[in-house]
Amino acid sequence: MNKEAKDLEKRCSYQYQSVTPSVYVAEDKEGYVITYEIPGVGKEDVDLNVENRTLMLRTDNKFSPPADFKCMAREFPVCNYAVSLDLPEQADPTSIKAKVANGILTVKLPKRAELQPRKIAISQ
Amino acid sequence: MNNDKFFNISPWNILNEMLNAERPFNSMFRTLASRIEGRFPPANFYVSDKAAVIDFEMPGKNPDDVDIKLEPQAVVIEVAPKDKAKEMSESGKRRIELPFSIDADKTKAVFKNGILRLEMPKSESAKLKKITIDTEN
Repeated sequence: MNKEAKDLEKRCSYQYQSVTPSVYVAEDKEGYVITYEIPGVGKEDVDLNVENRTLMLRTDNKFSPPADFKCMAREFPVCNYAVSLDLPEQADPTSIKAKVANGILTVKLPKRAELQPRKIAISQ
Repeated sequence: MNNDKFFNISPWNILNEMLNAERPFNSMFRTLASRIEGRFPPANFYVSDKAAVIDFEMPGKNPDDVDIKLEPQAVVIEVAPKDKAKEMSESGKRRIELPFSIDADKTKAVFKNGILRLEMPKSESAKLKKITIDTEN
């Protein structure tokens, strides 16, 4: 199966409509920390890709409302999340680290090696 | 002592169901909207003949940050993150009235991926009982 067909199949298997999650971006000297709010989504259901300096997030939310119950009121949607972020020029997309905990996806994106702060050793 | 300000919401009527039609929108706005309305943490309400289920959305919180108290026919939930410095360290308290009295001993709370599910079975006394009618001649 080629990539497009696989991709399409994957997209169609997503149970819910996709919405843009809340995203927080913080920057320090070493790099960026991107935080996505994706309640209901576990580690194995996150699909994170980098392509052409774009960081793409898609999820396959397995969270389901309780079976045989009638929904009486809804204050938050049970949905999938999708968002693409353009990475800044200074970022090094080859060494991205990501983790998921308690419905929060944290992506650590370091800056390029030559932009990292470093201490200069003083020679005698 | 009881001067805590929290909203007393009874979500179990049809009007609320109509107002809360399924309408996914940006979660940042949603969180903001729920804060303004005093609905934090946001919740989804489900009911069946045997139990009531409430899902609370709280990404980034730990089970330690949450305090649940049961009243015979209401639940009080308080979210107060221990790590105040953290971004997204919202806190809130709300009291939710239930459509029937619940069995506190059989109530279960499960926290998974930022969603807390509270499952509260109906108490025996709240279940429908059939009354047999005696005839007197």
